[in-house]
Amino acid sequence: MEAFQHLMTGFAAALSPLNLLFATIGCVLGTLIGVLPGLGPAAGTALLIPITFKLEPTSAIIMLAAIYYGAMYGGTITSVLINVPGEAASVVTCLDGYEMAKQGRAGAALGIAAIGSFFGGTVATFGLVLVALPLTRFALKFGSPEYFSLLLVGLSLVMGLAGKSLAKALVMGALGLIFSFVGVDPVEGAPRFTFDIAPLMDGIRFVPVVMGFFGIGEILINAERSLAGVIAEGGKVSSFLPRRDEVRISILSILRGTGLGFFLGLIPGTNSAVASFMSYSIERKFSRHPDAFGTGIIEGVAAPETANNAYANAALIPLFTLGLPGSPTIAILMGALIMNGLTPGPLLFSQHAGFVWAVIASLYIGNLILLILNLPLVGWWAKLLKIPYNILMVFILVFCIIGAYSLNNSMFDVGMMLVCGLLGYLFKKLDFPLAPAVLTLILGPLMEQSLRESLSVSQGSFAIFFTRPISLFFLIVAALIMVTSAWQAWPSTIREESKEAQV
Amino acid sequence: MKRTSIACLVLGLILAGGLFLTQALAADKPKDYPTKPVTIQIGFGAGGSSDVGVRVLAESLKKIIGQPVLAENKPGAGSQVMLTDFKNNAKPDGYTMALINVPQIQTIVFDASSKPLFSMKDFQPVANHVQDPGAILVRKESKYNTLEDLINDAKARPGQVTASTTGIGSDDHLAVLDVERRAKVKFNIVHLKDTPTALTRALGGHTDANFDNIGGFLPSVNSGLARILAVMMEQRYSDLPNVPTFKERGYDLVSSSTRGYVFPAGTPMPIVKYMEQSIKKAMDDPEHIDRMKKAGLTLKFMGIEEFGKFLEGQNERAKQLIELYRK
Repeated sequence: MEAFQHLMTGFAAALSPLNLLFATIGCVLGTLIGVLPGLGPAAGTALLIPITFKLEPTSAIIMLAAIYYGAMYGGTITSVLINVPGEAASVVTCLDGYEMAKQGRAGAALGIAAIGSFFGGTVATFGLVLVALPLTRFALKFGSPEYFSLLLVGLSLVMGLAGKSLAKALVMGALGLIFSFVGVDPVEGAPRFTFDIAPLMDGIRFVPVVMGFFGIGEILINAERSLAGVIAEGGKVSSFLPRRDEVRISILSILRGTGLGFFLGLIPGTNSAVASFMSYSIERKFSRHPDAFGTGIIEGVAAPETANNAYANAALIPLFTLGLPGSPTIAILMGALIMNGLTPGPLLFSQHAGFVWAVIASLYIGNLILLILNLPLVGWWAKLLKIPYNILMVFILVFCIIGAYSLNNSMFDVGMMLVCGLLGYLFKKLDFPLAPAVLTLILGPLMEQSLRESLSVSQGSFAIFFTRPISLFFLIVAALIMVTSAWQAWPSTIREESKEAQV
Repeated sequence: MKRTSIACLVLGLILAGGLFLTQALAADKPKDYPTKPVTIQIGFGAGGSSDVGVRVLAESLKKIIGQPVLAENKPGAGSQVMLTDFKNNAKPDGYTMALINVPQIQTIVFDASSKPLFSMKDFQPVANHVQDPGAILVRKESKYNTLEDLINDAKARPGQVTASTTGIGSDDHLAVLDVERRAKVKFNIVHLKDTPTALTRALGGHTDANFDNIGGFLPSVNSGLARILAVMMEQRYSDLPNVPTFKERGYDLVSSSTRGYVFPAGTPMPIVKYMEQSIKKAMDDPEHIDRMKKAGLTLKFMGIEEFGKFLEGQNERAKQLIELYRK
């Protein structure tokens, strides 16, 4: 195996003290960037590019890559602890992660997230070594119609996010889609529902909405009650390891999350939030107790966290092999590569083999560093929750406002977050689940773009979705999911007594 | 004691002399400017090619003006959010500059449906920085080997050959329209989200011709995944000596994504001139040249006058082409 020989050389380079240091710095910085809401991995990586001018290229890229996957993990921390998703991919983690924290099990949630992320990231990196080239050729077969049908599968999973009432979930799903229509039409360039407000031209931004829905909404809900009991003491908050039976349950979820995240990472143009949402919905479909999702069960954290890290590592494959960046953060990484004189694409492996394999090896090491770094820290993070909630609440609010502002240096985003906070509060009071709206808000623009691209290529004919085999396959999958979900939902709407906490 | 005070005096004199000397050397430096950091506003997100260009320039510019140069991203609506904010809030005091993307700014200003709250008169040109020439890319498996292959096929099958742009009103969109009117052909124009998407679709064979800028094409061309049929420049591109220009092939067509800096209208001319000269010096900095080359960004300095004239020419071209897609 020639690849493994190269990989060993790569390990030798990546394990040099200097490169190890940069990987560690990257992991720490990335975690911090992920923890700060607003400042996502893309902006964080971009801000640090000038630093890399002064470094040797391999070290520079090792550090930037570490920031990238470090931030993926960091976003989890705030989602679990205070219900504030730091970036899009960790929204789903709020659903069960925060519930676990409220039951005093923040440590276990963060622990399983770290383990799942490690596993997903490592396996995806193995995939990078073994199957990189043939798989990216396959990914290129994805044109707009294939995307659209794949996203339709994602949309059909909205039903999997429904709580007690399928009708309420569909209402919220539709609301998210309506929100996603706001902004300049992606094809004709005409403004829609913008009311001549310039910041609305780009549409309703995702991060302020979820910070409002989840973070601010939660504060308002809690403000009604006696603040003492919001977060349970929990026997051993500092024990970060999940219970043995929880690990056993999680193994399958982690495996599924890895597979899904890896697959989606290969296809340039999806994003990690799609990966984490889809894996959560799939878990619910596979679960024997789907009604328990959203009440703080460990599979609800393990699967999406694994999926988003597997996604993050797999997304490097199309970058390295074809020079195609699949997400904004990867695009920035690509910029850094080019600026350091390394052109991503098929020749990268032959012309700069030493560099590529050192970076790949550093991905394994980086995932391990993250695990080592985070498992002991989990206890410390969880201790944050010992702060009395009436004080913590104020800090969360300030934290959210700064985060929302720092997204685009815009007060409009702060206002948007606060309004969505009120909306989130109302929806919670009325028992409408928030997750479907968030999922459709992510999927809406992607689906619209791919739908209209396809129709523009086919000059208006819908046949394009049915005559291409991959697209047809996904359409059938979506139809199957919808039919089975409707089937399952029927009796459960009658079983009113099935008690389930809403999202 | 006495010796120390003499030493102090001498040192002070030397320092004062030095100060005088530097003042004298920078003869055209306006009095009391700059005394605090200068901010450059960017209408696009961190990490894009507009952003990278500004951040690389800022590194060299700060050495020349002796003050930090900050890059501030205000993304949204193809820079319309930033420009609106710049017009309303930036003071004409020389401490806030904006990066403008040409011809994108024209397609905002002259397209009534974008409802612009500013006009070209609100901006004082300072200097141009980057010019990324337009080009047409096809994947290596494509049946088009020359520009003529593409044009002839588009003639034979009107409205069937798909040409991708990176969005309505982008320089690529204007370029497609310009090719259409000059070669008398009709493409099936598909507007894609951004450069990576357009490249992915072209490499996968889902679109026939990818209209975009050379900077984003170089990686795929250098690694042999794709080729460029022609560039929309006055002369051939130095790194692609075998690729013809449209002009050589008989089409009077020059198109690019051009990025330069403006102050708010009404900024004192000495400050504008000082900044123009400082940007010129920064662009001559070997470190700057090297980094921009690696980033695939082609430098093109234009001073106050030349940049102003260039903008006026672009105003006319944009008006004509907007007419073609807004009628």
